[in-house]
Amino acid sequence: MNKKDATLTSRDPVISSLQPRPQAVPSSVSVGLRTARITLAKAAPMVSSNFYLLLGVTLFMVAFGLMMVLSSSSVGSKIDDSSSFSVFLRQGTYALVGIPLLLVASRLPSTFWKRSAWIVLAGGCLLQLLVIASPLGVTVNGNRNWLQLGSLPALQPSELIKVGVVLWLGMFLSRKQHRIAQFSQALMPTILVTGTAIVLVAIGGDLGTSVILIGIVLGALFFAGIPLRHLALLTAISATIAILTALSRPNRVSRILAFLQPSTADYSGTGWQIQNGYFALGDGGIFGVGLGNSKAKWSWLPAVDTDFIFAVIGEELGLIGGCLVLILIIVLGVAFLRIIRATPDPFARVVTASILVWIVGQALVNIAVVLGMLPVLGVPLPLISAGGTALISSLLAIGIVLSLSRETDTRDPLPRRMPELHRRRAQRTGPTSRVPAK
Amino acid sequence: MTSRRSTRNRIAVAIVVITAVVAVLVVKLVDIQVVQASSLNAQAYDKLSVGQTLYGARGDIVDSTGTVLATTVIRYDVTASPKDVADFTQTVNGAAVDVTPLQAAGQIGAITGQSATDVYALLTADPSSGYALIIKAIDLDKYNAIRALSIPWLQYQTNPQRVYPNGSVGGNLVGYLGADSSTNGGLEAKENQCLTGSDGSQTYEKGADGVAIPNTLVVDKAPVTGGTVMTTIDSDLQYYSQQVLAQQVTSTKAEWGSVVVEEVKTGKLLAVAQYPTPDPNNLDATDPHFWGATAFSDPFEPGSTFKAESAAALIDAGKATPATQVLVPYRYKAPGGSVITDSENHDPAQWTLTGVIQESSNVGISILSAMLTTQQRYDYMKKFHLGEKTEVNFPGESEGILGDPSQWGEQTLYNSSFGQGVTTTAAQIASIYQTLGNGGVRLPVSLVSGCKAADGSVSEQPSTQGEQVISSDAAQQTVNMMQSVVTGGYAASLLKIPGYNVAAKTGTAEVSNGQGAYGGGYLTSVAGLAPAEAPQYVVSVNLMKPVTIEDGSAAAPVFQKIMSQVLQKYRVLPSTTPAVNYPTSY
Repeated sequence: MNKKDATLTSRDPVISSLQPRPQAVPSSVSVGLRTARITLAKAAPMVSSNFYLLLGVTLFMVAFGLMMVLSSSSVGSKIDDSSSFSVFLRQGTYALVGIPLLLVASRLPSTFWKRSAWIVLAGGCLLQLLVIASPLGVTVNGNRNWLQLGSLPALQPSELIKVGVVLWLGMFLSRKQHRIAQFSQALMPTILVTGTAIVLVAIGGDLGTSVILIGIVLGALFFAGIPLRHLALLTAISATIAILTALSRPNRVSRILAFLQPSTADYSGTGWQIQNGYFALGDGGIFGVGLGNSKAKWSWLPAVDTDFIFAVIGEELGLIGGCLVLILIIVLGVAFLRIIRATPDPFARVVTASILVWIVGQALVNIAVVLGMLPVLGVPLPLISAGGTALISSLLAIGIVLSLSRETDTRDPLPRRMPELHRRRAQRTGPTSRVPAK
Repeated sequence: MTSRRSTRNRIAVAIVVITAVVAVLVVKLVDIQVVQASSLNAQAYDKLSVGQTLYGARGDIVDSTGTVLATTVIRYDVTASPKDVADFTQTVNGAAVDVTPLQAAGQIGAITGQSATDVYALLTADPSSGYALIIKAIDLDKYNAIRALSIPWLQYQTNPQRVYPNGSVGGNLVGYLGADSSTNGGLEAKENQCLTGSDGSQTYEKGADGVAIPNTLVVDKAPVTGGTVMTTIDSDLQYYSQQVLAQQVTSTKAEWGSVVVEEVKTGKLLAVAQYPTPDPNNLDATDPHFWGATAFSDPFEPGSTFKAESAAALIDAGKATPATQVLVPYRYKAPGGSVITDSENHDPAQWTLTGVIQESSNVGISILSAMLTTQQRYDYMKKFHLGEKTEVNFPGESEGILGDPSQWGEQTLYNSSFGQGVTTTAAQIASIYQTLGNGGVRLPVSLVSGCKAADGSVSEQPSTQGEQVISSDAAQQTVNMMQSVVTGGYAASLLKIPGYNVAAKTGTAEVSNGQGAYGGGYLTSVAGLAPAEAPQYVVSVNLMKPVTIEDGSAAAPVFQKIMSQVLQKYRVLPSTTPAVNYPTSY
């Protein structure tokens, strides 16, 4: 693709928003349209710079993550499996599954996602039920969050629930666009459905994922245009519930106490992880100790390749590496926000906003935990930390955003340079209503 | 109706929130990684760093050819942490096997030679303790065997041990290590400063499981190995001397014996043998009195070997020649009233000074020595460095006793000419003969030829500055007179060495009983030089209170064998001139 095209394309939505333009395609003609699009793609790619920005940052973070997983897990892998590469190779395999999944997902139409929303959410909840209520559930570090199916790698259905909740929110809230301010029409059903899913996750004990899910719901509602007073109310309720849940388990209480009073934290107990994370970051300084030279990974820092991988990044690559990760997160956020701004489709907007909260929000929460600014919640760093289900579900989520971005862009009045093409397409699809056809 | 403006506003809010959060995180990150970094690193270092001692091994003691007489080896102490003793998993032929502490005790015991119950008792004596010694100072093979058991609650400490590979060869010289440096003995004590290494230290950082993190090892202070003490001893000759001496001491039922072999041209001691001699590896098998070197520490009245000194003094002072004639009765009543007798009854004999030496006449040498004043005789003794320690300055070395000549009694006035009433050490006797053999030039006696530091530099080299004690002529004439002892004295047949002219003097000294009287045995001795025409080696043999033979004949075979060995070993050319044959009578 040609650079000039990309620049033009990215500016287009701003200009086009001032004028009427072709709108969402009825599903009945979508097959025909897709055929046309494929043909066009050969001549001139119909995707915006947002698409490539998001795809590029995502792939870079996955590659960077693999590198850091290799470095941080090498010692633990050697001890557990007598091969320094075991965790890395497993993570690489997940990436090899997840990236094609992302590319395939990016090609699917929004209608597919809308239709699959209920199925994915219901499927995720069903699997989560298996986790919490059947012997197939596996408890790790006090959290019953894993599903062991035969000899398959353990799965985290809560990650699938995230995808389901995101899709459901997009589907439901976009449908309720006009009644978004009505409590019983929009907020009430949302609370009921997503609340069920969140409760299922919370029963398993995964407070971190529950909090992220609550964040996803709040973010979706925010970008769906819910009145701010509803949002404030919901936030207050969620916070209360979250705190009560947190206090219901002694291991969480001690974690929170350790956070609130670091000086009284038992050095070898709850404060251990944070303290060793600090030592790692301090060791790194500005320039880092160099890739592979972390000391924290020598059994000092628990969850060194998952929840605390940021400490190893900060140690090996220094302040520079830490800031790089933060910049990547900002770029990711900007890419999501540009896609939100570019799309007129409320489904795309709500889904992208949810995934923004998921990926960017979770990343910021993870780093804040490592930096001791939040209690230890147990959430990994998206796209970077080791963890198969989490990586695949994140990549799937970004694939969904890419597909929505692609759809928005192809509907854009790109062909100002190709008026003929534009005219032809307009003729074929015809003027449609603003609201997607039901 | 959602307006695009509303969306834009909310996007703006999202941008502000994300930016603000990231800004806060960056500030915190800078705070941790830059502002607090040094204090965090100090805390982490305290937690991660492990200091280790690097042993600067004690140096070796070697003989003149480099044969190691004393060295340091690394041994290992095995300790356990009883409070951690528990079952553990062992991999046997690829399969994981659960091992109980009692089974582990059996495995340890099978390697160390302890019984399973003994080891188990050590492990369980104090279950709350973090320390229990299992065994000390095991060698590398056993250490590796125990390590291979992969018992998690065992710890290992290196324990440098002193060993003496040649055992009792030179055991009297090498000495021993005591509980601290003040209780060391022999060269271990004398050369302690040279031998002592300095320990170094290193620090590494460890993982939480104790593993050393790669690239964190820092040597804070390099260890320095102690210096090597190079002795003048020839361990082969030392061994031979000890063997021959041991045989003779045993067969004559003597209390003890000593042999000193000294090189005439250098003053180096080639062998300082004694019997009994200690094995520093097993000191307790030997009477503590013999843990040191008796040749330095145990003075005795030398007896007739001392007549050579008296004769040399007479000749050097111009008071006599080898042919000086003297009428020697068996019993002589001196002007002061004291009475001297020879060992064997004889008619008054017309002997020359040579004859007096050959016949070892106490009367003859007493009469002739009276030609020198007491002070002159004392001064000669002092010039031969009698009454003072040799340059070796061996731990416990005795000066011998000459006493104050002005206080010598009437008897001592004469007795001192034939080696009674004064005491010398075996080393001092050897030094007298070295002086005689070296044209009257006394060389400092040396046992240590230097201390070679780890960097190869050599210090403590002994002085080679000689002193002319008597004239060259006097010295050679004295040696020549002693050839008659080997050609015609009572022990001649025992002293002869085919092919070489040998000069020697026997001695049979009465031993003081410690209460001012003589009685209860003799010190029999031979001291001599070879080849007599150009002396190269001194051999001095002393046997204390032999029972089966009570005169110089007891020591003579030892002298003959050792001198033969020396001449052979150092490839001394046989004599080409006949033995000097001064007239012994007139």
